[in-house]
Amino acid sequence: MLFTSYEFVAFLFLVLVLYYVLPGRFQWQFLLLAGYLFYFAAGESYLIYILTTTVTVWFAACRIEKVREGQTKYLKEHKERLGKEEKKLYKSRMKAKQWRWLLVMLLLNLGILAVLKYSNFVIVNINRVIGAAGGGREFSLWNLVLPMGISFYTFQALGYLIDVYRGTVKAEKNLFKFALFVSFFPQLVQGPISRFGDLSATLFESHPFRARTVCFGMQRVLWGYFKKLVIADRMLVGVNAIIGDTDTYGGAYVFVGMLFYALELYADFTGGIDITIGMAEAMGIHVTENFNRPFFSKSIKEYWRRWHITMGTWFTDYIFYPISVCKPMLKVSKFTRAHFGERIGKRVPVYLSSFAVWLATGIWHGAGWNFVAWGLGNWIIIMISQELEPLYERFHAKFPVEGRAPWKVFQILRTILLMSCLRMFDCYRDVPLTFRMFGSMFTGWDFSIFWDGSLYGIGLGFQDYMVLLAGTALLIAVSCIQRRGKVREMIAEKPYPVRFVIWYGLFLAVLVFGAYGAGYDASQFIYNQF
Amino acid sequence: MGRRIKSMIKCIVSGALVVTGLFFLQKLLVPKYAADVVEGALIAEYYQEEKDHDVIFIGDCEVYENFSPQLLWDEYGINSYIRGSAQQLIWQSYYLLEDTLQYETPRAVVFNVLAMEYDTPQKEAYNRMTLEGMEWSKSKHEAILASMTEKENYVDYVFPILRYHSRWSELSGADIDYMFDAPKVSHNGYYMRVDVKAAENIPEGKPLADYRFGDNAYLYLDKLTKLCKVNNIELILVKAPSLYPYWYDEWEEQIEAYAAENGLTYINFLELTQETGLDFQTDTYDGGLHMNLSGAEKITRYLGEFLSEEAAIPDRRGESRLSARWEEKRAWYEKDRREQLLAMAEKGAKPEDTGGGETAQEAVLPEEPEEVHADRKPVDYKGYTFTYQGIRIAMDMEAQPVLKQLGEADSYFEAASCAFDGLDKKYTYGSFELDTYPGEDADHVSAVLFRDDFVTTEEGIGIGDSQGDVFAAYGEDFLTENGMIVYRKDDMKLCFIITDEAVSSIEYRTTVLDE
Repeated sequence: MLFTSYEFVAFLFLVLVLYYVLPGRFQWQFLLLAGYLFYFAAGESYLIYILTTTVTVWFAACRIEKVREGQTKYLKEHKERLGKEEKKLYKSRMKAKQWRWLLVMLLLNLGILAVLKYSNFVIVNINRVIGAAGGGREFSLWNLVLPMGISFYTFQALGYLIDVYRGTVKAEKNLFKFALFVSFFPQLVQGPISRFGDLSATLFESHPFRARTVCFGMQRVLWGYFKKLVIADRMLVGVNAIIGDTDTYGGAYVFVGMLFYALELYADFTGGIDITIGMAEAMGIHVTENFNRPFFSKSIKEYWRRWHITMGTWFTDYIFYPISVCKPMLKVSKFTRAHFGERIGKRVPVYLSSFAVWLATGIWHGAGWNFVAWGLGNWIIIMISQELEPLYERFHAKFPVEGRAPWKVFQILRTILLMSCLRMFDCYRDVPLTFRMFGSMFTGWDFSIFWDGSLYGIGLGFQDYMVLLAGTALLIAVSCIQRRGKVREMIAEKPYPVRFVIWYGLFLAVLVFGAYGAGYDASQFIYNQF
Repeated sequence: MGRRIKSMIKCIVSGALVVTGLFFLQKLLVPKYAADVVEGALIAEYYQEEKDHDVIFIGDCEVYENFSPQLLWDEYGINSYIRGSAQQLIWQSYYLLEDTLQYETPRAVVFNVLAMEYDTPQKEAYNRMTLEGMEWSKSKHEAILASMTEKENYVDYVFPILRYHSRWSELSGADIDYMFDAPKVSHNGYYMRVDVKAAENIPEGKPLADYRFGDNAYLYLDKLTKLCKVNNIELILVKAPSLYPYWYDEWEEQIEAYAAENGLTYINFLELTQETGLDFQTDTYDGGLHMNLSGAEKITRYLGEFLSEEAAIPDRRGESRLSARWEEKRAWYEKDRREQLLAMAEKGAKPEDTGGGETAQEAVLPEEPEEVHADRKPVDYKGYTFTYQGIRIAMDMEAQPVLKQLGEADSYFEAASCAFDGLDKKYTYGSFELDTYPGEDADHVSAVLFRDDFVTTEEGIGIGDSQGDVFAAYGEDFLTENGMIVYRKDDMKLCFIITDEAVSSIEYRTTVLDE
């Protein structure tokens, strides 16, 4: 059941009505039921995986919590009797017990994810190695189905388990409440990767019907559909044409395709997240924001703080920091400081941890070398820009352009171009091909495609370009207004006829200009695939 | 005024504005079937009629282009109406009759049996032309459910704006002119054409693996028979004298048997050319597929005799009100005929040499986005290919270069068929036949059919080889479709019909047109 299908719109309508008809104390149970129905509709066999993750993580979290409670009780009861060393020894024994629970569940759940998502990637590469070594036998690929949203709910559940292990979140004793946290249907498909502490604050509460809440939520849903159907799915036609025929579409077309893909991905992913957050909001539930106008970033580092925020913070909290402070890394740090001086010694652990994060980020996005290359490409650019900082400082000392509007625009455009170039790995999904197409931008450039009508040959007509132009202009305008505050709240302060015209106009724009229905293949959200 | 009342008024006004806006927008965006694909307007016109007909025709283009209710009235005083539309499937005919019976009960129903060839839903465009014109009823609801192809959604029929929203980029003046009131296009359901294109080179029918009509088709024929019996209506089965699509002897036998078994009258006009005086040189406007006015009047005359004498349909010319109505219709009938002749004369063409009498069956649906068209781009040498004298032919490749290499065909036939938008073309080259379909900018190869055993596939299989030879050449990973062994590769199929353990037919087909 895609967000863009009629079935989903009907499902959402029904869920909303029943949600508010039911007494408040039953609302969260109803959402759990709706989540499982939604997941069941996506694929019956998927249920086994989400159930396994839910039950095992919940159980382990409860065990960890129990060990911690037992520890507190024991220490309280034996406060007088135990010496400092004994207490320390006892604590470390208890910590090890908790760690074992955590480790087993990490291995189990990441193992499920790895087998389902990466086994064929591994087999293909093993076969390549065997082939290169002259071996004749090849391993056959496994016929596995990747359950919808598995990367998202696995990370969400494991994040919760780590938080419980760290003691930053109390374990949820009610299995069904935890099951709802994992299977909350609006975010099941493509995130955001919520933290238990954030989502649970409003997820299990009762929410009486408030017209303003529902209206605000649905307005955001509508905006999400506008981005997805009017911009992303219309642009998809052009992107598919360019990347689908690399022999024909080289040179300047690659540049066009690169920018189109960047815009398509942005409209697609943020549109999906708007729908998710809007749906939750309509039910009175607060879901963490996942974007903060990333295309206004002035550096790649800033971009990643504003794009897919929940994933970035997940990797930072659960991979970067643990690796940075783990014992082997501290040893490496000590060694490098001793041998290469303070300046380099300080950076090596950071760079190595970042390397791990970007490698994981790449692999998380998909089982392919292109994703690995994309992840490491980001890492390389961030590292280079960090290394060049002294140079920038010297430049800014000599040319005081920092903070000026043209310089800001330059920085924003530079970031967009760099990110778009990196996204080519995602777009072409083949590392050598990506490099070849990237190279063709410099060797086969032909300006004339911009005015000789060639761009009408990629499946987009004059009217399509006009719609895309208007849609993109609106997107940029809304982003600019967002700097001054929340757009929906600003609109809500306008007189009723103005509000009516704005929202009805947006609805009609989606209805008429949306790329949906027969003739358009139902295009799933790009991030559903991760 | 209280706050609550203010809110209520605001809600009501907003709701009314939303609904009104959507209503007008939908009216603007749906196809009008007035200036171009007029066949789409036929079904809806019925509801504007006074409903006291004695004879109702149901069926596809072989009905609405081949019988003239005006002549039935003029010469026999029979008050009739045609509820027919392009490629109207049998279940659509059944539900249309059910729908008709809500308004009136005719004495006789004439059903054209060509629709028996289809057992499953075919094409959305034709579904739309039939179903959209129906007024909402249980029959329409069931007709939609029975007719939808896999890609269609029921909700698109309830709210057509969801289907036609992308027509915004194709809107023309006609969409505004005919938003609420489209001109009449038919004469009691009859679609008049006066031009002439003689029937030539009509191809033989392709061999079929299974000549038996499908179970679903029979199911609805049974339902139709029962519905007529229950309502005391005489059901008359007819086969219009269209030469193409081919009417097989095996089909004829099944219809004859069915008619005999159920006590129904069956008239095959293909066998009555002598009696009707039909001349395929002058009485058809598209090379034998459909009759022009002259042909339609000839066979209607024959049917009129039968209806009057055998079915005892009364002559109602004595009813003054009804006569007056028909008098008005006659004026419009004559006017249409005159205008068509005049239009041809202005183009400098005589009725007998107009040629190219293509029906306006261009797509009524919004133009598909390029991603769909992209599938139709010629992809050279995909799937199994056929090589003849060094000329390699693949499905969906552009036809013109191949045709040029093959040289002049032994025979050539083109037709604006009910199944496709545009012209089908058939080129016969001794041992095989090559079919094309109209692509976006050029014709593309849609099929190659072997006619004898002088040619073989690239894998060496020809007509007369054994089933074992086929398996040895192509393996046993095949599908069975309509009794054929089908090997799918890329977007094409290689189909074998096996009769008595030996290959009796071989055909390469594109699957692009199946969608």
